[in-house]
Amino acid sequence: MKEIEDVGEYSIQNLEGPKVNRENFESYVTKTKPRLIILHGHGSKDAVFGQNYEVILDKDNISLLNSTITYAVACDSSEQLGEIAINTGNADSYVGYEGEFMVVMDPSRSSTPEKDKNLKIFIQPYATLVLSLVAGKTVNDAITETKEVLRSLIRQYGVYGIKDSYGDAPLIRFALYWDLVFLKGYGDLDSKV
Amino acid sequence: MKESNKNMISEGIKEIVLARLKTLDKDSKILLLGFDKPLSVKELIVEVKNDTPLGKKIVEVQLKYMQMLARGEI
Repeated sequence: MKEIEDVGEYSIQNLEGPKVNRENFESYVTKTKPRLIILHGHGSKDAVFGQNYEVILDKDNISLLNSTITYAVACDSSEQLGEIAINTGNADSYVGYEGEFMVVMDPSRSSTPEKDKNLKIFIQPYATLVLSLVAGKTVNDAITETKEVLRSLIRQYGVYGIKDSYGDAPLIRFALYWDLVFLKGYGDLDSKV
Repeated sequence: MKESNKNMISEGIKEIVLARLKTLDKDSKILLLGFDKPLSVKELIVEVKNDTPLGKKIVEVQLKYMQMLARGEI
């Protein structure tokens, strides 16, 4: 978020934690009319959840995505919600994952995830997609760049001798490839922020 | 292709995937958004053995991964 703010051209509205309920989400989007929406939370094939698993986005309020580019890191949500967002919600494009978004954790860091070096690996592709969109690239180019970052990381963790204290490299490669397979875009992939 | 042959191939692929998973540290954990708690490699193996929806997805993705490696696409 800091990198986006430093660009100086964008206003960021951040909704997180206990504030993430349907009412607030609908209110934020209605008032601010964002061009780019990034959703990060639990999901199902046709919904995105907020705090306490409250549904904040589904087919009933999908029109909130009208004329937006939405990137949802919410498992499975791309499978049906992506198409609903385009066909019913009139979103310009929707990027999401057709399966669960997978990361590898270091069990010794379960109480301090901010120190988990395994988790940090998965932030790179996530950030690449967001920053590519913010930088004005098309959705298609942003997805392509993100997949190349994922491939690069997969190759990096396939190198013999890579610093891998806990032997997690094979599992990391698997998780990265999992995310690569399920990342998908819908709608007008030439759209830009 | 006969159904029995298809099933044999599916079982064969599943066995290969299980063999690959068994080379990993069983206590390593993955976090799948949408699941209440992280899953260990041991638990992933159980999912594959039991042909759960997650287990089937794991086999599907592993197969694609192996095919990609074989084609030199990674």
